Amino acid sequence: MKKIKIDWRFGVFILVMVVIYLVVFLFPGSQNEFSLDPSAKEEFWRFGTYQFAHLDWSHLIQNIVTLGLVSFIAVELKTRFKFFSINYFLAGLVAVLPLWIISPFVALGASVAIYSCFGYFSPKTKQFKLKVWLIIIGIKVFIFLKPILTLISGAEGFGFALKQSLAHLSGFVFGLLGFYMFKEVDKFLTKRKQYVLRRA
Amino acid sequence: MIKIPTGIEGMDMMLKGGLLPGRNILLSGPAGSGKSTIAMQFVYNGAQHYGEPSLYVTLEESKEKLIEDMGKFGFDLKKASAMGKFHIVGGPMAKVTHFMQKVDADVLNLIGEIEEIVKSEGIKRVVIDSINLLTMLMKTEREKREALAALANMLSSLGCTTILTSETEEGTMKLSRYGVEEFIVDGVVVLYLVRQGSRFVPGIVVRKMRGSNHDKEIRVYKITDKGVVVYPTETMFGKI
Ligand SMILES: Nc1ncnc2c1ncn2[C@@H]1O[C@H](COP(=O)(O)OP(=O)(O)OP(=O)(O)O)[C@@H](O)[C@H]1O
Ligand SMILES: [Mg+2]
Repeated sequence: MKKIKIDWRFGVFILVMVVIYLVVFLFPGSQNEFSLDPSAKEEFWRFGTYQFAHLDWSHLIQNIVTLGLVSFIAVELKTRFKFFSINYFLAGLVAVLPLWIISPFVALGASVAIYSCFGYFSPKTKQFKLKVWLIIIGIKVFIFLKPILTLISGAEGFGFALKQSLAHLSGFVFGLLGFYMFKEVDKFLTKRKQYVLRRA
Repeated sequence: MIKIPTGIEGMDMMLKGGLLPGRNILLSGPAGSGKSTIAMQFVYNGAQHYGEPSLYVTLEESKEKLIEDMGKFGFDLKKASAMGKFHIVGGPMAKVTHFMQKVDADVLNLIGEIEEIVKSEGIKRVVIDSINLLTMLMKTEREKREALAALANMLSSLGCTTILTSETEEGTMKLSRYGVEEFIVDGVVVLYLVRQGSRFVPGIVVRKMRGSNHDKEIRVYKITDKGVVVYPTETMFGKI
């Protein structure tokens, strides 16, 4: 039987992230101090912190659970840890910015980074002979489930739900582009690795 | 059957015409026995006389030194490279490992590089000199064996006829240093320094050649100023 090698770095990754999220969350007033707030644009550190801050316990737990799921999928899909983690932090840092600049709002949380993982994974589902475009559409429907349902039920908060969905979509698209970007990076690095004998 | 002549006349007679196309052999012998010279003649002749694009991978000497040393036998490697059929890559191990560390490459990347060159240049003959140094890059016996197998498979699937050189310890009758190499290759040619009275006489023997008939005797060879010459009718030991 072939031994299955599990990349434990993903486990360590979740653990570290959970600890960071908890520490930031338990920091008094973290929601106000660390979020990306249009009324405090000059506090530039917020760009680096907002992905680690969470609004309340349910927000935090939701993201931790999804992060666990994401790491599990990452291992299953044999994702390269280096690219996965860079994509994760980068998405948390910049993916929401285009939306935020067009229509500023108080942003915080890891969900954009988490959704970028789903974008990053989508093309990798090919290895299971799944249709990539089906997966992508499926995830998009899922992303917009909440605003669609609020719209149908006529409940309040459609605008907010839509914005949240658009933020998640930004993360997703970022991850999708990230996958192809890192594929090129990987190709370049491999090529460089194969230029040893000719240089020596 | 079509064979790939080495261009070393006596050796081709021992091999009943040459090597089998797309197969690989291990050429092993003690230090200074002429492994690099024979291997070079195989690829140089291939490019010059048989029109086959050839690749020499050196892991021992620098390209410059090799070109200079081989020039003394009358092999004009610079000219052969300029004509486009002869390729030489690699360098001293320290330099190779230096560049490997720089780009975080491993042995599989090196094999990948060889594959890329073979494909892009349409290489038909390959020399790896030596595989001792290539296997030195790996720690466990198993890794060594796997990397060698990967290399051998890649080369034969691309139709390359290959000589892998391997240094044996002086005085042993072992075929290779680790005793794993000879199971992976299709053929083994061994160079010996055999003591005859007060002097050492160089002897060459084909120890194994899958799928082909060959001479079973130890024959005499010499390193001359035109390269290695094999005397295919001179046996080493007087038969009684
Ligand atoms: N012009 C020449 N005439 C006779 N012998 C020569 C001449 N030039 C070199 N030699 C011999 O060839 C030997 C080197 O041959 P070669 O480099 O092919 O051996 P090798 O088995 O590859 O050695 P190494 O183990 O160092 O790699 C020298 O040790 C020398 O004895
Ligand atoms: Mg040599």
